[in-house]
Amino acid sequence: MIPMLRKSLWDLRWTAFWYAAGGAIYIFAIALFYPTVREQAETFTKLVAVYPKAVLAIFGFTDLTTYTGFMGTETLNLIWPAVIIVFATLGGSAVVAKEVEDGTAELLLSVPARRWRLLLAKEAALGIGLLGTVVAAALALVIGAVVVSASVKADGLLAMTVVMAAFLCTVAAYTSLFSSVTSSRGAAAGMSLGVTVAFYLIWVVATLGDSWKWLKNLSIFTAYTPQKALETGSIDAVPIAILVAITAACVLLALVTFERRDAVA
Amino acid sequence: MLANPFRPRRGLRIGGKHSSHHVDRELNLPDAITAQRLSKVYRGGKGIFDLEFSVPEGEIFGFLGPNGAGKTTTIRVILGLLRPTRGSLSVFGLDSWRESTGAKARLGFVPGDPRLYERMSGAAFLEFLAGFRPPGTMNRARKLASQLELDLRPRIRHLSRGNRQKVLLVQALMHDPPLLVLDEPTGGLDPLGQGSFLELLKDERSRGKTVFLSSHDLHEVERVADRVAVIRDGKLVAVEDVEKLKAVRERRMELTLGRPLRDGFFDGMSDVRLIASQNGGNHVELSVCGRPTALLERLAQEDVIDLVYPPADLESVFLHYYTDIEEAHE
Repeated sequence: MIPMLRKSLWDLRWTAFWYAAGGAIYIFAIALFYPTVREQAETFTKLVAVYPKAVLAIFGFTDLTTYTGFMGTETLNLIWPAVIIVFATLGGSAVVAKEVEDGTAELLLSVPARRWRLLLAKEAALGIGLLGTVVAAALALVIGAVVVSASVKADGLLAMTVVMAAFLCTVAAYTSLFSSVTSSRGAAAGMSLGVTVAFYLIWVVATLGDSWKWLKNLSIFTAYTPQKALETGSIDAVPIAILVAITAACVLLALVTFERRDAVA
Repeated sequence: MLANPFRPRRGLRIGGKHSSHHVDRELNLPDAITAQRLSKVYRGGKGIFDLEFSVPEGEIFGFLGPNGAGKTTTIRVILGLLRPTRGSLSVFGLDSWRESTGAKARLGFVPGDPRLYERMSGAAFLEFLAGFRPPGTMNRARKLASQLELDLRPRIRHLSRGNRQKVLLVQALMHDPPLLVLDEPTGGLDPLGQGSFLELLKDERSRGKTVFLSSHDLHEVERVADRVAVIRDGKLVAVEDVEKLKAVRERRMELTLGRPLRDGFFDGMSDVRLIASQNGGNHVELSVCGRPTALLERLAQEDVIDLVYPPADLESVFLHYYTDIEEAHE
Protein backbone atom coordinates (compact mmCIF):
# COMPACT_ATOMS: atom_id res chain seq x y z
CA MET A 1 0.00 0.00 0.00
CA ILE A 2 2.87 2.37 0.78
CA PRO A 3 4.31 2.36 -2.78
CA MET A 4 0.86 3.15 -4.17
CA LEU A 5 0.30 5.93 -1.63
CA ARG A 6 3.71 7.40 -2.39
CA LYS A 7 3.13 7.32 -6.14
CA SER A 8 -0.38 8.75 -5.85
CA LEU A 9 0.88 11.63 -3.72
CA TRP A 10 3.65 12.22 -6.23
CA ASP A 11 1.16 12.24 -9.10
CA LEU A 12 -1.13 14.65 -7.25
CA ARG A 13 1.55 17.01 -6.00
CA TRP A 14 1.32 19.75 -8.62
CA THR A 15 -2.44 19.60 -9.03
CA ALA A 16 -2.92 19.82 -5.28
CA PHE A 17 -0.31 22.57 -5.02
CA TRP A 18 -1.91 24.77 -7.65
CA TYR A 19 -5.43 24.34 -6.29
CA ALA A 20 -4.17 25.03 -2.78
CA ALA A 21 -2.09 28.01 -3.89
CA GLY A 22 -4.87 29.37 -6.09
CA GLY A 23 -7.42 29.09 -3.30
CA ALA A 24 -5.09 30.63 -0.77
CA ILE A 25 -4.10 33.53 -3.00
CA TYR A 26 -7.76 34.21 -3.73
CA ILE A 27 -8.61 34.21 -0.01
CA PHE A 28 -5.69 36.48 0.79
CA ALA A 29 -6.53 38.88 -2.05
CA ILE A 30 -10.16 39.14 -0.90
CA ALA A 31 -9.01 39.73 2.66
CA LEU A 32 -7.22 42.87 1.48
CA PHE A 33 -10.63 44.39 0.59
CA TYR A 34 -11.93 43.92 4.10
CA PRO A 35 -10.75 47.32 5.51
CA THR A 36 -12.73 49.14 2.80
CA VAL A 37 -15.85 47.14 3.60
CA ARG A 38 -15.33 47.62 7.33
CA GLU A 39 -15.20 51.39 6.87
CA GLN A 40 -18.51 51.33 5.01
CA ALA A 41 -20.19 48.62 7.00
CA GLU A 42 -23.49 50.46 7.35
CA THR A 43 -23.86 50.95 3.59
CA PHE A 44 -23.11 47.32 2.85
CA THR A 45 -25.50 46.10 5.50
CA LYS A 46 -28.32 48.16 3.95
CA LEU A 47 -27.37 46.93 0.48
CA VAL A 48 -27.43 43.29 1.50
CA ALA A 49 -30.75 43.75 3.30
CA VAL A 50 -32.60 44.63 0.09
CA TYR A 51 -31.57 41.47 -1.77
CA PRO A 52 -34.10 38.62 -1.96
CA LYS A 53 -33.48 35.85 0.53
CA ALA A 54 -32.95 33.27 -2.25
CA VAL A 55 -30.23 35.33 -3.88
CA LEU A 56 -28.46 35.74 -0.56
CA ALA A 57 -28.70 32.02 0.01
CA ILE A 58 -27.44 31.08 -3.44
CA PHE A 59 -24.39 33.31 -3.14
CA GLY A 60 -23.78 32.64 0.54
CA PHE A 61 -24.25 36.25 1.71
CA THR A 62 -24.21 36.75 5.48
CA ASP A 63 -22.67 39.45 7.61
CA LEU A 64 -20.15 41.66 5.81
CA THR A 65 -19.16 43.80 8.77
CA THR A 66 -16.97 41.26 10.59
CA TYR A 67 -13.82 39.66 9.18
CA THR A 68 -15.18 36.17 9.50
CA GLY A 69 -18.55 37.20 8.03
CA PHE A 70 -16.92 39.02 5.15
CA MET A 71 -14.53 36.16 4.37
CA GLY A 72 -17.33 33.64 4.69
CA THR A 73 -19.52 35.57 2.28
CA GLU A 74 -16.82 36.33 -0.25
CA THR A 75 -14.79 33.12 -0.17
CA LEU A 76 -15.52 30.26 2.20
CA ASN A 77 -19.25 29.79 1.64
CA LEU A 78 -19.29 29.54 -2.15
CA ILE A 79 -16.35 30.53 -4.34
CA TRP A 80 -13.54 28.64 -2.58
CA PRO A 81 -15.51 25.38 -2.20
CA ALA A 82 -16.75 25.67 -5.77
CA VAL A 83 -13.13 25.71 -6.97
CA ILE A 84 -11.91 22.96 -4.68
CA ILE A 85 -14.93 20.79 -5.48
CA VAL A 86 -13.58 20.72 -9.03
CA PHE A 87 -10.31 19.31 -7.64
CA ALA A 88 -12.16 16.77 -5.51
CA THR A 89 -14.30 15.74 -8.47
CA LEU A 90 -11.45 15.43 -10.97
CA GLY A 91 -9.27 13.65 -8.43
CA GLY A 92 -12.05 11.31 -7.34
CA SER A 93 -13.07 10.48 -10.89
CA ALA A 94 -9.48 9.52 -11.73
CA VAL A 95 -8.81 7.00 -8.94
CA VAL A 96 -9.91 3.98 -10.95
CA ALA A 97 -10.96 5.33 -14.33
CA LYS A 98 -7.64 6.99 -15.22
CA GLU A 99 -5.73 3.72 -14.92
CA VAL A 100 -8.32 1.96 -17.07
CA GLU A 101 -8.51 4.73 -19.67
CA ASP A 102 -4.73 5.16 -19.84
CA GLY A 103 -4.26 1.42 -20.27
CA THR A 104 -2.03 1.12 -17.19
CA ALA A 105 -4.55 -0.85 -15.11
CA GLU A 106 -3.42 -4.17 -16.54
CA LEU A 107 0.19 -3.69 -15.48
CA LEU A 108 -0.68 -2.08 -12.13
CA LEU A 109 -3.02 -4.90 -11.21
CA SER A 110 -0.43 -7.52 -12.12
CA VAL A 111 1.40 -6.71 -8.89
CA PRO A 112 0.72 -8.99 -5.94
CA ALA A 113 -1.48 -6.64 -3.95
CA ARG A 114 -5.18 -6.71 -3.24
CA ARG A 115 -7.06 -4.28 -5.43
CA TRP A 116 -8.85 -2.67 -2.50
CA ARG A 117 -5.54 -1.80 -0.90
CA LEU A 118 -4.35 -0.09 -4.08
CA LEU A 119 -7.57 1.89 -4.32
CA LEU A 120 -7.53 2.79 -0.65
CA ALA A 121 -4.02 4.18 -1.06
CA LYS A 122 -5.19 6.30 -3.97
CA GLU A 123 -8.16 7.57 -1.98
CA ALA A 124 -5.93 8.36 0.98
CA ALA A 125 -3.60 10.36 -1.25
CA LEU A 126 -6.54 12.35 -2.57
CA GLY A 127 -7.73 12.99 0.99
CA ILE A 128 -4.28 14.27 1.92
CA GLY A 129 -4.28 16.51 -1.15
CA LEU A 130 -7.68 17.94 -0.18
CA LEU A 131 -6.54 18.47 3.38
CA GLY A 132 -3.60 20.41 1.97
CA THR A 133 -5.93 22.79 0.15
CA VAL A 134 -7.91 23.33 3.37
CA VAL A 135 -4.78 24.00 5.42
CA ALA A 136 -3.57 26.47 2.78
CA ALA A 137 -6.93 28.23 2.95
CA ALA A 138 -6.72 28.44 6.75
CA LEU A 139 -3.20 29.85 6.52
CA ALA A 140 -4.33 32.45 3.99
CA LEU A 141 -7.16 33.48 6.34
CA VAL A 142 -4.69 33.95 9.19
CA ILE A 143 -2.19 35.91 7.10
CA GLY A 144 -5.02 38.04 5.68
CA ALA A 145 -6.27 38.76 9.18
CA VAL A 146 -2.84 39.87 10.30
CA VAL A 147 -2.41 42.15 7.29
CA VAL A 148 -5.82 43.86 7.71
CA SER A 149 -5.59 44.02 11.51
CA ALA A 150 -8.42 41.59 12.11
CA SER A 151 -8.33 38.43 14.16
CA VAL A 152 -9.36 34.81 13.91
CA LYS A 153 -9.45 32.31 16.77
CA ALA A 154 -7.31 29.19 16.72
CA ASP A 155 -10.21 26.95 17.72
CA GLY A 156 -12.29 28.58 15.01
CA LEU A 157 -9.65 27.76 12.42
CA LEU A 158 -9.46 24.18 13.61
CA ALA A 159 -13.24 23.77 13.53
CA MET A 160 -13.40 25.33 10.05
CA THR A 161 -10.67 22.97 8.83
CA VAL A 162 -12.65 19.97 10.07
CA VAL A 163 -15.85 21.16 8.39
CA MET A 164 -14.21 21.93 5.06
CA ALA A 165 -12.13 18.74 4.98
CA ALA A 166 -15.12 16.55 5.88
CA PHE A 167 -17.22 18.17 3.18
CA LEU A 168 -14.60 17.87 0.44
CA CYS A 169 -13.77 14.28 1.36
CA THR A 170 -17.46 13.43 1.01
CA VAL A 171 -17.54 14.85 -2.51
CA ALA A 172 -14.34 12.99 -3.40
CA ALA A 173 -15.68 9.77 -1.89
CA TYR A 174 -18.89 9.61 -3.89
CA THR A 175 -16.99 10.63 -7.01
CA SER A 176 -14.51 7.78 -6.49
CA LEU A 177 -17.44 5.41 -6.06
CA PHE A 178 -18.75 6.51 -9.46
CA SER A 179 -15.24 6.06 -10.86
CA SER A 180 -15.04 2.55 -9.44
CA VAL A 181 -18.43 1.61 -10.89
CA THR A 182 -18.12 3.19 -14.34
CA SER A 183 -14.35 3.13 -15.10
CA SER A 184 -14.93 6.35 -17.03
CA ARG A 185 -13.54 9.67 -15.86
CA GLY A 186 -16.08 11.63 -17.86
CA ALA A 187 -19.04 9.64 -16.59
CA ALA A 188 -17.83 9.71 -12.98
CA ALA A 189 -17.14 13.45 -13.01
CA GLY A 190 -20.46 14.17 -14.72
CA MET A 191 -22.43 12.07 -12.26
CA SER A 192 -20.60 13.62 -9.35
CA LEU A 193 -21.14 17.19 -10.50
CA GLY A 194 -24.81 16.41 -11.07
CA VAL A 195 -25.16 15.07 -7.53
CA THR A 196 -23.24 18.01 -6.04
CA VAL A 197 -25.33 20.60 -7.88
CA ALA A 198 -28.50 18.77 -6.82
CA PHE A 199 -27.35 18.84 -3.19
CA TYR A 200 -26.66 22.56 -3.52
CA LEU A 201 -30.03 23.40 -5.07
CA ILE A 202 -31.82 21.35 -2.42
CA TRP A 203 -29.99 23.30 0.24
CA VAL A 204 -30.86 26.66 -1.36
CA VAL A 205 -34.54 25.73 -1.60
CA ALA A 206 -34.45 24.59 2.02
CA THR A 207 -33.35 28.07 3.13
CA LEU A 208 -36.29 29.79 1.40
CA GLY A 209 -38.93 29.14 4.02
CA ASP A 210 -40.03 26.99 6.90
CA SER A 211 -42.17 24.78 4.67
CA TRP A 212 -39.02 23.69 2.77
CA LYS A 213 -36.78 23.49 5.78
CA TRP A 214 -37.02 19.68 5.95
CA LEU A 215 -35.07 19.50 2.67
CA LYS A 216 -31.95 20.46 4.60
CA ASN A 217 -31.75 16.89 5.80
CA LEU A 218 -31.22 15.76 2.22
CA SER A 219 -28.22 17.94 1.38
CA ILE A 220 -24.57 17.64 2.36
CA PHE A 221 -24.37 21.45 2.15
CA THR A 222 -26.29 21.60 5.43
CA ALA A 223 -23.14 20.33 7.11
CA TYR A 224 -20.95 22.79 5.25
CA THR A 225 -20.79 25.68 7.73
CA PRO A 226 -17.18 26.93 7.68
CA GLN A 227 -18.11 30.49 8.60
CA LYS A 228 -20.07 29.41 11.64
CA ALA A 229 -17.26 27.07 12.69
CA LEU A 230 -14.74 29.88 12.27
CA GLU A 231 -16.83 32.27 14.36
CA THR A 232 -17.82 29.91 17.16
CA GLY A 233 -14.87 27.55 17.30
CA SER A 234 -17.21 24.57 17.42
CA ILE A 235 -18.73 22.12 14.97
CA ASP A 236 -22.16 20.61 14.75
CA ALA A 237 -21.35 17.03 15.58
CA VAL A 238 -24.32 15.34 13.92
CA PRO A 239 -23.98 16.84 10.43
CA ILE A 240 -20.23 16.24 10.45
CA ALA A 241 -20.78 12.67 11.64
CA ILE A 242 -23.20 12.19 8.75
CA LEU A 243 -20.57 13.46 6.30
CA VAL A 244 -18.01 11.09 7.78
CA ALA A 245 -20.51 8.23 7.54
CA ILE A 246 -21.32 9.01 3.91
CA THR A 247 -17.60 9.21 3.13
CA ALA A 248 -16.88 5.90 4.82
CA ALA A 249 -19.83 4.20 3.12
CA CYS A 250 -18.86 5.47 -0.33
CA VAL A 251 -15.20 4.51 0.13
CA LEU A 252 -16.20 1.07 1.36
CA LEU A 253 -18.56 0.55 -1.56
CA ALA A 254 -15.91 1.72 -4.00
CA LEU A 255 -13.39 -0.72 -2.53
CA VAL A 256 -15.80 -3.64 -2.57
CA THR A 257 -16.94 -2.84 -6.10
CA PHE A 258 -13.38 -2.58 -7.37
CA GLU A 259 -12.35 -5.76 -5.60
CA ARG A 260 -15.18 -7.86 -6.97
CA ARG A 261 -15.68 -6.59 -10.50
CA ASP A 262 -13.76 -7.32 -13.67
CA ALA A 263 -10.89 -4.86 -13.59
CA VAL A 264 -10.80 -4.27 -17.32
CA ALA A 265 -13.32 -4.73 -20.09
CA MET B 1 28.99 -11.13 -33.23
CA LEU B 2 26.31 -8.70 -32.15
CA ALA B 3 25.29 -8.78 -28.52
CA ASN B 4 21.74 -9.80 -27.81
CA PRO B 5 20.03 -6.61 -26.59
CA PHE B 6 17.51 -8.67 -24.63
CA ARG B 7 20.00 -11.06 -23.12
CA PRO B 8 22.12 -10.15 -20.11
CA ARG B 9 25.67 -9.73 -21.43
CA ARG B 10 27.59 -11.32 -18.63
CA GLY B 11 25.28 -14.21 -18.08
CA LEU B 12 23.52 -12.67 -15.10
CA ARG B 13 21.74 -15.31 -13.10
CA ILE B 14 19.37 -14.12 -10.49
CA GLY B 15 18.10 -16.63 -8.02
CA GLY B 16 17.69 -19.95 -9.69
CA LYS B 17 15.66 -21.47 -6.92
CA HIS B 18 13.15 -22.84 -9.41
CA SER B 19 15.69 -24.83 -11.35
CA SER B 20 14.61 -27.94 -9.49
CA HIS B 21 11.38 -28.11 -11.46
CA HIS B 22 11.95 -31.71 -12.48
CA VAL B 23 11.98 -32.66 -8.83
CA ASP B 24 8.82 -30.66 -8.34
CA ARG B 25 7.09 -32.61 -11.06
CA GLU B 26 8.24 -35.86 -9.58
CA LEU B 27 6.80 -34.67 -6.29
CA ASN B 28 3.49 -34.22 -8.06
CA LEU B 29 3.31 -30.49 -7.46
CA PRO B 30 0.69 -28.57 -9.45
CA ASP B 31 1.38 -27.39 -12.99
CA ALA B 32 2.33 -23.78 -13.55
CA ILE B 33 -1.04 -23.13 -15.18
CA THR B 34 -4.14 -25.31 -15.25
CA ALA B 35 -7.34 -24.28 -17.01
CA GLN B 36 -10.41 -26.40 -16.44
CA ARG B 37 -13.47 -25.75 -18.58
CA LEU B 38 -12.53 -22.09 -18.40
CA SER B 39 -15.09 -19.70 -19.85
CA LYS B 40 -15.35 -15.95 -19.78
CA VAL B 41 -18.35 -14.68 -21.67
CA TYR B 42 -18.82 -10.98 -22.33
CA ARG B 43 -22.06 -9.23 -23.03
CA GLY B 44 -22.82 -9.90 -26.66
CA GLY B 45 -21.69 -13.50 -26.43
CA LYS B 46 -18.00 -13.12 -27.23
CA GLY B 47 -15.27 -14.42 -24.98
CA ILE B 48 -13.54 -17.72 -24.32
CA PHE B 49 -15.34 -21.02 -23.96
CA ASP B 50 -14.47 -24.22 -22.10
CA LEU B 51 -10.71 -23.89 -22.39
CA GLU B 52 -8.93 -26.90 -21.03
CA PHE B 53 -5.14 -27.02 -20.90
CA SER B 54 -2.24 -27.22 -18.51
CA VAL B 55 1.28 -25.88 -18.65
CA PRO B 56 3.87 -27.88 -16.70
CA GLU B 57 6.83 -26.14 -15.12
CA GLY B 58 9.82 -25.51 -17.31
CA GLU B 59 7.88 -25.35 -20.57
CA ILE B 60 7.45 -22.60 -23.12
CA PHE B 61 3.80 -22.81 -23.99
CA GLY B 62 2.69 -20.97 -27.10
CA PHE B 63 -0.82 -19.58 -27.11
CA LEU B 64 -1.59 -19.01 -30.72
CA GLY B 65 -4.53 -17.31 -32.34
CA PRO B 66 -5.56 -14.42 -34.59
CA ASN B 67 -6.47 -11.02 -33.18
CA GLY B 68 -9.72 -11.21 -31.23
CA ALA B 69 -9.47 -14.97 -30.71
CA GLY B 70 -9.41 -14.70 -26.91
CA LYS B 71 -5.69 -14.67 -26.11
CA THR B 72 -5.72 -11.46 -24.08
CA THR B 73 -8.91 -12.49 -22.30
CA THR B 74 -7.21 -15.71 -21.21
CA ILE B 75 -4.18 -13.77 -19.98
CA ARG B 76 -6.42 -11.40 -18.06
CA VAL B 77 -7.99 -14.38 -16.33
CA ILE B 78 -4.50 -15.67 -15.46
CA LEU B 79 -3.72 -12.26 -13.93
CA GLY B 80 -6.96 -12.21 -11.95
CA LEU B 81 -8.23 -9.16 -13.82
CA LEU B 82 -11.31 -11.02 -15.04
CA ARG B 83 -13.51 -13.39 -13.11
CA PRO B 84 -14.27 -16.59 -15.05
CA THR B 85 -17.92 -17.01 -15.97
CA ARG B 86 -17.51 -20.78 -15.60
CA GLY B 87 -14.68 -23.13 -14.82
CA SER B 88 -11.41 -22.17 -13.23
CA LEU B 89 -7.80 -21.33 -13.85
CA SER B 90 -5.04 -21.93 -11.35
CA VAL B 91 -1.45 -20.73 -11.18
CA PHE B 92 0.77 -23.16 -9.28
CA GLY B 93 -2.40 -24.52 -7.71
CA LEU B 94 -3.71 -21.10 -6.65
CA ASP B 95 -7.06 -19.98 -8.03
CA SER B 96 -6.38 -17.00 -10.28
CA TRP B 97 -9.44 -15.10 -9.03
CA ARG B 98 -9.84 -15.99 -5.37
CA GLU B 99 -6.12 -16.25 -4.63
CA SER B 100 -4.89 -13.79 -7.20
CA THR B 101 -2.42 -12.06 -4.88
CA GLY B 102 -0.54 -15.29 -4.25
CA ALA B 103 -0.74 -16.25 -7.91
CA LYS B 104 0.61 -12.88 -9.05
CA ALA B 105 3.51 -13.12 -6.63
CA ARG B 106 4.70 -16.08 -8.71
CA LEU B 107 4.51 -14.51 -12.14
CA GLY B 108 6.00 -11.77 -14.25
CA PHE B 109 3.86 -10.14 -16.90
CA VAL B 110 4.65 -8.32 -20.13
CA PRO B 111 1.54 -6.70 -21.62
CA GLY B 112 0.94 -6.58 -25.34
CA ASP B 113 0.14 -2.90 -25.33
CA PRO B 114 3.11 -1.27 -23.58
CA ARG B 115 1.28 1.70 -22.10
CA LEU B 116 3.23 2.75 -19.04
CA TYR B 117 3.36 5.70 -16.68
CA GLU B 118 4.71 8.12 -19.25
CA ARG B 119 5.82 10.84 -16.85
CA MET B 120 7.91 8.54 -14.70
CA SER B 121 11.53 7.76 -15.38
CA GLY B 122 12.43 4.13 -15.97
CA ALA B 123 14.04 4.00 -12.53
CA ALA B 124 11.02 5.50 -10.76
CA PHE B 125 8.71 3.13 -12.60
CA LEU B 126 10.70 0.06 -11.62
CA GLU B 127 11.11 1.32 -8.05
CA PHE B 128 7.35 1.70 -7.79
CA LEU B 129 6.67 -1.84 -8.99
CA ALA B 130 9.57 -3.26 -6.95
CA GLY B 131 7.84 -1.85 -3.88
CA PHE B 132 5.29 -4.65 -4.22
CA ARG B 133 7.95 -7.34 -4.49
CA PRO B 134 10.36 -8.84 -1.97
CA PRO B 135 13.26 -6.73 -0.64
CA GLY B 136 16.23 -6.60 -2.98
CA THR B 137 14.07 -6.60 -6.10
CA MET B 138 15.19 -3.12 -7.13
CA ASN B 139 18.83 -4.11 -6.89
CA ARG B 140 18.15 -6.97 -9.27
CA ALA B 141 16.22 -4.61 -11.53
CA ARG B 142 19.21 -2.26 -11.73
CA LYS B 143 21.53 -5.16 -12.53
CA LEU B 144 19.19 -6.43 -15.23
CA ALA B 145 18.85 -2.94 -16.72
CA SER B 146 22.60 -2.61 -16.76
CA GLN B 147 22.97 -5.98 -18.46
CA LEU B 148 20.38 -5.02 -21.04
CA GLU B 149 22.15 -1.68 -21.57
CA LEU B 150 18.99 0.15 -20.59
CA ASP B 151 19.34 3.72 -19.35
CA LEU B 152 16.79 4.15 -16.55
CA ARG B 153 17.16 7.92 -16.25
CA PRO B 154 14.97 9.22 -19.12
CA ARG B 155 11.26 9.54 -18.71
CA ILE B 156 9.36 6.66 -20.23
CA ARG B 157 7.65 8.92 -22.77
CA HIS B 158 11.08 9.60 -24.27
CA LEU B 159 11.98 5.93 -24.70
CA SER B 160 11.92 4.10 -28.02
CA ARG B 161 9.64 1.09 -28.49
CA GLY B 162 12.57 -1.26 -28.02
CA ASN B 163 13.64 0.38 -24.77
CA ARG B 164 10.07 0.37 -23.47
CA GLN B 165 10.03 -3.31 -24.17
CA LYS B 166 13.24 -3.66 -22.15
CA VAL B 167 11.67 -1.78 -19.24
CA LEU B 168 8.72 -4.15 -19.36
CA LEU B 169 11.02 -7.11 -19.51
CA VAL B 170 13.02 -5.91 -16.51
CA GLN B 171 9.86 -5.42 -14.44
CA ALA B 172 8.71 -8.90 -15.40
CA LEU B 173 12.03 -10.55 -14.51
CA MET B 174 13.24 -8.44 -11.59
CA HIS B 175 11.62 -10.60 -8.89
CA ASP B 176 12.81 -13.80 -10.58
CA PRO B 177 9.32 -15.28 -10.99
CA PRO B 178 8.90 -18.96 -11.87
CA LEU B 179 6.27 -18.07 -14.50
CA LEU B 180 6.40 -15.48 -17.28
CA VAL B 181 3.15 -14.44 -18.94
CA LEU B 182 3.79 -12.62 -22.19
CA ASP B 183 1.05 -11.06 -24.29
CA GLU B 184 2.36 -10.61 -27.83
CA PRO B 185 5.66 -9.34 -26.46
CA THR B 186 7.46 -8.90 -29.78
CA GLY B 187 4.86 -6.67 -31.39
CA GLY B 188 6.61 -3.59 -32.74
CA LEU B 189 10.10 -5.05 -32.45
CA ASP B 190 12.28 -5.34 -35.52
CA PRO B 191 13.29 -8.86 -36.64
CA LEU B 192 16.64 -8.62 -34.85
CA GLY B 193 14.93 -7.57 -31.63
CA GLN B 194 12.39 -10.37 -32.00
CA GLY B 195 15.14 -12.93 -32.44
CA SER B 196 17.00 -11.66 -29.39
CA PHE B 197 13.87 -11.72 -27.33
CA LEU B 198 13.11 -15.29 -28.27
CA GLU B 199 16.66 -16.31 -27.37
CA LEU B 200 16.12 -14.78 -23.95
CA LEU B 201 13.01 -16.90 -23.49
CA LYS B 202 15.02 -20.01 -24.26
CA ASP B 203 17.53 -18.91 -21.61
CA GLU B 204 14.73 -18.55 -19.09
CA ARG B 205 13.45 -22.00 -19.92
CA SER B 206 16.92 -23.44 -19.43
CA ARG B 207 16.78 -21.95 -15.92
CA GLY B 208 13.59 -23.88 -15.25
CA LYS B 209 11.17 -21.03 -15.82
CA THR B 210 7.79 -21.54 -17.38
CA VAL B 211 6.73 -19.20 -20.18
CA PHE B 212 3.18 -18.60 -21.38
CA LEU B 213 3.68 -16.90 -24.73
CA SER B 214 0.67 -15.44 -26.48
CA SER B 215 1.17 -14.63 -30.15
CA HIS B 216 -0.52 -14.49 -33.51
CA ASP B 217 2.76 -15.29 -35.24
CA LEU B 218 3.04 -19.02 -35.91
CA HIS B 219 6.64 -18.77 -37.01
CA GLU B 220 7.66 -16.99 -33.80
CA VAL B 221 5.95 -19.58 -31.60
CA GLU B 222 7.42 -22.47 -33.56
CA ARG B 223 10.91 -21.12 -32.93
CA VAL B 224 10.72 -21.30 -29.14
CA ALA B 225 7.69 -23.16 -27.85
CA ASP B 226 7.60 -26.76 -26.67
CA ARG B 227 3.84 -27.04 -27.03
CA VAL B 228 1.22 -24.86 -28.61
CA ALA B 229 -2.44 -24.23 -27.94
CA VAL B 230 -4.34 -22.90 -30.92
CA ILE B 231 -7.37 -20.75 -30.17
CA ARG B 232 -9.96 -19.36 -32.52
CA ASP B 233 -13.22 -17.55 -31.78
CA GLY B 234 -12.66 -18.23 -28.08
CA LYS B 235 -12.40 -21.99 -28.46
CA LEU B 236 -9.34 -24.21 -28.32
CA VAL B 237 -8.75 -25.77 -31.68
CA ALA B 238 -5.80 -27.90 -30.59
CA VAL B 239 -3.06 -28.35 -28.02
CA GLU B 240 -0.07 -29.96 -29.71
CA ASP B 241 3.64 -30.46 -29.48
CA VAL B 242 5.34 -28.00 -31.76
CA GLU B 243 6.99 -30.79 -33.74
CA LYS B 244 3.61 -32.34 -34.45
CA LEU B 245 2.21 -28.99 -35.45
CA LYS B 246 5.09 -28.50 -37.85
CA ALA B 247 4.36 -31.89 -39.37
CA VAL B 248 0.70 -31.22 -40.06
CA ARG B 249 0.53 -27.60 -41.09
CA GLU B 250 0.88 -26.69 -44.73
CA ARG B 251 3.30 -24.22 -46.24
CA ARG B 252 3.14 -22.59 -49.60
CA MET B 253 6.04 -22.73 -52.05
CA GLU B 254 6.25 -20.60 -55.18
CA LEU B 255 8.51 -21.72 -58.00
CA THR B 256 9.63 -19.87 -61.11
CA LEU B 257 10.93 -22.39 -63.63
CA GLY B 258 12.89 -22.26 -66.87
CA ARG B 259 10.68 -25.07 -68.18
CA PRO B 260 7.55 -26.77 -66.76
CA LEU B 261 7.94 -29.60 -64.26
CA ARG B 262 8.33 -33.03 -65.78
CA ASP B 263 5.34 -35.34 -66.02
CA GLY B 264 5.05 -37.54 -62.95
CA PHE B 265 6.97 -35.01 -60.82
CA PHE B 266 4.49 -35.37 -57.96
CA ASP B 267 4.33 -39.16 -58.04
CA GLY B 268 4.92 -40.66 -54.60
CA MET B 269 4.84 -37.31 -52.82
CA SER B 270 1.54 -37.36 -50.96
CA ASP B 271 2.49 -34.34 -48.86
CA VAL B 272 2.92 -32.05 -51.88
CA ARG B 273 0.00 -30.66 -53.86
CA LEU B 274 -0.08 -28.44 -56.92
CA ILE B 275 -2.28 -25.46 -56.14
CA ALA B 276 -1.81 -23.25 -59.19
CA SER B 277 0.10 -23.22 -62.45
CA GLN B 278 0.62 -20.14 -64.61
CA ASN B 279 2.66 -18.97 -67.63
CA GLY B 280 2.41 -22.33 -69.29
CA GLY B 281 3.64 -24.13 -66.19
CA ASN B 282 6.68 -21.86 -65.68
CA HIS B 283 5.25 -20.42 -62.46
CA VAL B 284 3.72 -22.89 -60.01
CA GLU B 285 2.40 -22.71 -56.49
CA LEU B 286 2.67 -25.76 -54.25
CA SER B 287 1.31 -26.76 -50.87
CA VAL B 288 3.87 -28.60 -48.74
CA CYS B 289 3.04 -30.54 -45.61
CA GLY B 290 5.81 -31.75 -43.29
CA ARG B 291 9.47 -31.85 -44.29
CA PRO B 292 10.33 -30.69 -47.80
CA THR B 293 13.38 -32.96 -48.18
CA ALA B 294 12.00 -35.20 -50.94
CA LEU B 295 10.59 -32.25 -52.82
CA LEU B 296 13.88 -30.37 -52.74
CA GLU B 297 15.74 -33.42 -54.01
CA ARG B 298 13.43 -33.63 -57.04
CA LEU B 299 13.57 -29.90 -57.62
CA ALA B 300 17.33 -30.17 -57.82
CA GLN B 301 16.74 -32.04 -61.11
CA GLU B 302 14.55 -29.22 -62.47
CA ASP B 303 15.36 -25.86 -64.01
CA VAL B 304 14.48 -23.74 -61.00
CA ILE B 305 15.02 -20.00 -61.51
CA ASP B 306 13.55 -18.81 -58.23
CA LEU B 307 12.02 -20.36 -55.14
CA VAL B 308 9.97 -18.62 -52.45
CA TYR B 309 9.18 -20.59 -49.28
CA PRO B 310 7.70 -18.20 -46.68
CA PRO B 311 7.03 -19.26 -43.08
CA ALA B 312 3.75 -21.00 -42.45
CA ASP B 313 0.92 -18.73 -41.39
CA LEU B 314 -1.77 -19.32 -38.85
CA GLU B 315 -4.44 -19.96 -41.47
CA SER B 316 -2.59 -23.05 -42.64
CA VAL B 317 -2.92 -24.50 -39.14
CA PHE B 318 -6.60 -23.66 -38.94
CA LEU B 319 -7.12 -25.14 -42.36
CA HIS B 320 -5.66 -28.42 -41.17
CA TYR B 321 -7.69 -28.63 -37.98
CA TYR B 322 -10.93 -27.45 -39.50
CA THR B 323 -10.57 -29.96 -42.29
CA ASP B 324 -10.07 -32.63 -39.64
CA ILE B 325 -13.15 -31.49 -37.76
CA GLU B 326 -15.29 -31.46 -40.90
CA GLU B 327 -14.06 -34.92 -41.88
CA ALA B 328 -14.86 -36.21 -38.40
CA HIS B 329 -18.39 -34.83 -38.71
CA GLU B 330 -18.85 -36.51 -42.04
